[in-house]
Amino acid sequence: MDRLLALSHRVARAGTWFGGGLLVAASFLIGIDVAIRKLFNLSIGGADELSGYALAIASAWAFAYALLERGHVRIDSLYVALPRRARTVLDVFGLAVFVAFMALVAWRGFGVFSESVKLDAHSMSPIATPLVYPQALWVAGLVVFVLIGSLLLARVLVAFVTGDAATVHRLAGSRSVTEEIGQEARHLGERREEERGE
Amino acid sequence: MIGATIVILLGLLALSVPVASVLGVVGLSLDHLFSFLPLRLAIGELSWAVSTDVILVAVPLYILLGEFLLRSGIAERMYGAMTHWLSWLPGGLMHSNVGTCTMFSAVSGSSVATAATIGTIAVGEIRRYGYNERFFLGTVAAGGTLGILIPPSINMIVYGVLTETSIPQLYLAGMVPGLVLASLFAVTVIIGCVARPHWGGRRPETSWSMRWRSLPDLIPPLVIFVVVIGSIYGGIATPTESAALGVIIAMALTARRLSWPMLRAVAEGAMRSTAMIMAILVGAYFLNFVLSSIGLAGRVNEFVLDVGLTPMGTLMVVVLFYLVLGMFMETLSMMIATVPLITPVIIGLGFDPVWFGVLVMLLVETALITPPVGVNLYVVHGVRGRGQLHDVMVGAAPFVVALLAMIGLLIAFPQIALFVPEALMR
Repeated sequence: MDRLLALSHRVARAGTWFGGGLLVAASFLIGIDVAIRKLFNLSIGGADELSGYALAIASAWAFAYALLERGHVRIDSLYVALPRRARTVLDVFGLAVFVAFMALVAWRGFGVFSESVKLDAHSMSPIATPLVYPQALWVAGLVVFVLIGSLLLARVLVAFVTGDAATVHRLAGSRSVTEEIGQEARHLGERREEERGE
Repeated sequence: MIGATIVILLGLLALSVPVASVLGVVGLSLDHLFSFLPLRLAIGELSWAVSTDVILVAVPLYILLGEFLLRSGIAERMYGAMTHWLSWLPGGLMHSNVGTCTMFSAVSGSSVATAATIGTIAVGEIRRYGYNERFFLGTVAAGGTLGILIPPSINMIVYGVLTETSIPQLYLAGMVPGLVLASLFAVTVIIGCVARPHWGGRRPETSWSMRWRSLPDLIPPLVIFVVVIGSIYGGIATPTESAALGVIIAMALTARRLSWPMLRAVAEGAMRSTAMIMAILVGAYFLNFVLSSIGLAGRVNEFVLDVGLTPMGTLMVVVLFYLVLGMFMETLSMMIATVPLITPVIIGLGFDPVWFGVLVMLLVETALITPPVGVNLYVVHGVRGRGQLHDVMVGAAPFVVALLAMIGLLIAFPQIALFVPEALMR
């Protein structure tokens, strides 16, 4: 299970590269659109719409990474004051609620996609995008999230049942101040190294 | 109905369930309890609609812009230039902190990114020039909050989308309050250092020739500001398009440092934040849909009218509510969870939506530096890398007073925010 989880991490990380790439590509597409509009008074059109699809696809593929990095915001004002045992219960509960809610979104999202397939839906715009393509990529990202989220939940449940509180915290705990700080410091360290490498 | 909503919402938040799913689950429960139609069936359509909203595309683009700026080195050079120009004031480098934060805010849409970037550059100077550490850190934590008030601003985009307010007008409305607030921060530093001269450290060496020679270092941020903000008001670009232009310029500025590992790090950092924000927005859109379908927004309005406070009295309650909530809640989730319910009430009482947007930014800024939960405090403490979080909290306290003064000013004189957009756009 831990090897599957490590694989998930790699998949999720690759998802962010894909999403980030899409958004950078969208920036250039928009930039070209603006330039052509301004210089030649011509509109190629569709850049706005396509960038919207880029956002949907990129965020769907990034949900899993944020989950594995424990990047989804939790309010921990009360949490930090609780004993470790209670925090472990809340970690499992919070993760389960989050994955369940996103599974509902993915399920209904799949409904949107299959409706588009059935009706051969096109966007109401000059470029009339066949919606099945962007929606397929979007739903695929959501499904990958649900798979990774379920795997993480299963692993955390195993750890919870076997009384392995440390693993529950490592995989699903709320990021504490010290951890955020540790991460920030690590980023800065990386940046300094990049600069030295120049 | 209002009671049930508040109990479920606060209960789940207190149990530290991830905010995005709290909003979604509150929506589902209200749907189950009070709705005739199963509104949950719409969650797919709503998620697709919010995820493809063209205006929201600006949010990840500003985050990307920030990630590139962080690595571009322009902030270091800005800081150097600001030091030559501002360090003669009582408080020395602390004015460079506030000044660089102000200028960086004009290219960055995030308060956290502003504090992290300027903090990294500034902390080394505390010991070198013998400053009072707490007060010095406070200037960075507080100065950083300007990031969301001075355009561009991620939070203003989100406010604009949630309340259907014009984002170009919000941007214009934020500029003057941003500069006034920066001046109030500077005045706070001067008062502190006149009253306690040992708080201010030694002056760095400077001369007029060094000042003139440092001016070119201010050109890159100026170029980004002119492109990102100027293109909106020049009628060339929408806010989203201007953000895309900003990403392209920022990439051009970092061109010498671009590499695959760097690009991957940028993507990971930017997408982590984007996913977090988009998940909350998906939950919030569904909740808002349920709230309006079951007529809760109307109930809240009636409730406020029944209480019978004057409009100013209601506004004071709202301000107090945000100040208290802001101590305990992460700011973006606080905004997304509350703004759709509170803004209609405030506008119904005759207040201006653009003006209220600026007020919300100031309240969020205060929330960023009020303990126990104040993200900018954490960030500044993080870049310092030693000592106690307590130091930053104490150091930021005088600037909370400055923020409260600014909130008072904005309520007493709404024109501080409104005269620029009224003169230029209405």
